[in-house]
Amino acid sequence: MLDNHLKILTNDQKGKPVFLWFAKPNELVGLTTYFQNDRKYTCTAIAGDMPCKVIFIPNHHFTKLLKAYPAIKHQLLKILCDRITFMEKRTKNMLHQSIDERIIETLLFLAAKENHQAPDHKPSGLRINFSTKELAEMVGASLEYLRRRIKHLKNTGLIDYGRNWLTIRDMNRLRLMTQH
Amino acid sequence: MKKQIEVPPCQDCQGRIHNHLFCSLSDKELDVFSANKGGNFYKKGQNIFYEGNRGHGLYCIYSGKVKVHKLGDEAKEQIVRFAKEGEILGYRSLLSDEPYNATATAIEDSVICYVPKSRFLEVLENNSKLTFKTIQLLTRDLKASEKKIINITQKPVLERIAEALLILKEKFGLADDGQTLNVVLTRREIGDLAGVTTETTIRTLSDLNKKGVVRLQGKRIALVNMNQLTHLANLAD
Repeated sequence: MLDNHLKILTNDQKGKPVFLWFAKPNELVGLTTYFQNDRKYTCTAIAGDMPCKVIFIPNHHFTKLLKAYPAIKHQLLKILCDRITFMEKRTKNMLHQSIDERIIETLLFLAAKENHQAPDHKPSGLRINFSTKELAEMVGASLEYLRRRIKHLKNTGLIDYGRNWLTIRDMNRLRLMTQH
Repeated sequence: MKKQIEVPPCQDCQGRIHNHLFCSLSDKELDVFSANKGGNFYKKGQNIFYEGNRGHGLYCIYSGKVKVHKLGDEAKEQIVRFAKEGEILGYRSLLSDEPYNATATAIEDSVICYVPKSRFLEVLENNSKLTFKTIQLLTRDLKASEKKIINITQKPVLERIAEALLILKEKFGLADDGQTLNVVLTRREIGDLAGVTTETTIRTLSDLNKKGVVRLQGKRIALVNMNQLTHLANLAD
């Protein structure tokens, strides 16, 4: 991944896409298929709402790269551990949290991951460059419901948003909302 | 309390032979583990490590069965996976240098070996094949966690419970009668694995019992009609 983000999805048995995670610049996708020696990709990677640049490394080149630079393998261990932790946390949230809590958790997670401090610090916020449609997919909520809830969060002064971006204005209050 | 006990050297461990990571270690590498490991006996229900604690070593199950679970709000539990003889626990915490993501609890009396972190990482650092195999293990775990998300978001309760029973069969196998699951779990634990409440699990298992798909004998569950169960689990592949 070179810029913007990729959405990693899979389809359920009825063909409905299920969001799994997203890849940011400098991340690798397709690792599971390579290391499990699968013939087919188990997930679909598609560009987010903005175009993105991706470098394709063929399997045999990647194998050569791993042989030439064994240290990469140790970095991959950490990357995979982080990914599993993220997936397990998502599963736990799906099982035990209400949709409203999941929306806030997702916003907090994305803010931490993107870590883009607003330049003027004015809306004291962390900016998230995702569309509401993408946020709905991540949360596992309908687009209509998500729009209603983030509108409510905006009205209460916790966030601000526009096309393909969202800024958290009050991180502490948002955090408190997920801690009951 | 856990009780320290003598365990045989890694070379003689039967479980290790079936372990994806450690089956091909050299005698020298096994000696490093054997010389530094300790063995503990855990009674059923005893915790081996806790979610949020720092990991200082690797746990290898010499005998017994363990559940790896996360605690949610209001004491709700989510079972991440089960592990049996020959399998390892706590490796992700060591590799990522993060606290444990889940708690490990013995679901039957178990003997578990403990290898200090430094020794495990030392062997890993010098054995490229072991590193590759560890990556493979992690990608397998990742695949399983992705599958779980799909199940939770898309699959109805009946499918999830049917699949949980098939997962248990895959993991622990069947008793000599060829039908009874080789593990004894509470209804709550089966629900925690499937992501379903205990009440719904009891009701669903009772329905499956009435339909002749399973046979309930106290805590033991016999998978009577495997074809029907696989069909109910809606497993495409």
